[in-house]
Amino acid sequence: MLITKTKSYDQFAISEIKEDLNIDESDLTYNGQLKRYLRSAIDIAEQTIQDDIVPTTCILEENSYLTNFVYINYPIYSTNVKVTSIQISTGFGSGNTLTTLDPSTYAIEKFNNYTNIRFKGSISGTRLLINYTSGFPIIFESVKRAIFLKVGEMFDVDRNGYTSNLVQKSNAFERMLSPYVNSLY
Amino acid sequence: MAAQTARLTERLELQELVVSGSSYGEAIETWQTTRIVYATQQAQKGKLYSNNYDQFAMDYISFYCRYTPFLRKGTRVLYKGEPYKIHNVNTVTRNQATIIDLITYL
Repeated sequence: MLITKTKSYDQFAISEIKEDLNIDESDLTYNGQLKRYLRSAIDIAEQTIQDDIVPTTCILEENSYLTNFVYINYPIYSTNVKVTSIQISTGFGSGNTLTTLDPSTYAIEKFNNYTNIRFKGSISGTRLLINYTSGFPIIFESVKRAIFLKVGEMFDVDRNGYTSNLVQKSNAFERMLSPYVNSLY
Repeated sequence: MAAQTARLTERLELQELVVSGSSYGEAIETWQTTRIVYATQQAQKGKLYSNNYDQFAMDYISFYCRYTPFLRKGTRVLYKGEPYKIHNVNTVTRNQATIIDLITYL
């Protein structure tokens, strides 16, 4: 099973980060750096909470021989999942034409912290693609703040590769994200 | 820590002297803002005297900011609407920060 993800970072404005870091809007010196730090901070935040924060387009790909499966569950450990389409091919190899399944032939079962896809009837095939989107519909302000704090930490502290022993870490990033951690139980 | 973001509250405008010519060939000197940086005001150092008789006092202020390459010649800093000369520039070792000392024009 392989999940390929494409992320959109458009919900975060560089101007907002610059305001947080007290960098003047007209000062374009750090724009490129801040964009890269922002992507890193989002990745770190997503790893911390084990979920997709920004709008994400995903493809779950299964290439093993699948035959006569009726109730196979594909657990997708992400909240806010919307399945856009499911495609299947019956021939051998990836060059075969994929057929899009009728949405009435499968059901999306949402659980507290994950999503299952349950098929109604017997299907067989060699390759299965589940196309879905994930990510918070509206990014919570505290998640945003945590990401901005991480950008600031990387920009002002981490890129120097040096900190004074006297400075203690506030752990604000972890504290702000802890209510959103996606744990399976 | 290089710069405590919450303390970078003072707005400094870095200005460069640009010389152009009028249609009559006169030199026109204008100060143009090239960059705006936010800094922390260090202890205000008070007056700096240009001679031994306590004459010609200049206001002397020191600022701490993220690493910024300041030039001492041909540039000035506009702070709270008042132009300042760049008196001294120090880079904080391994900390990516700059301390800049400014004095008022006589």
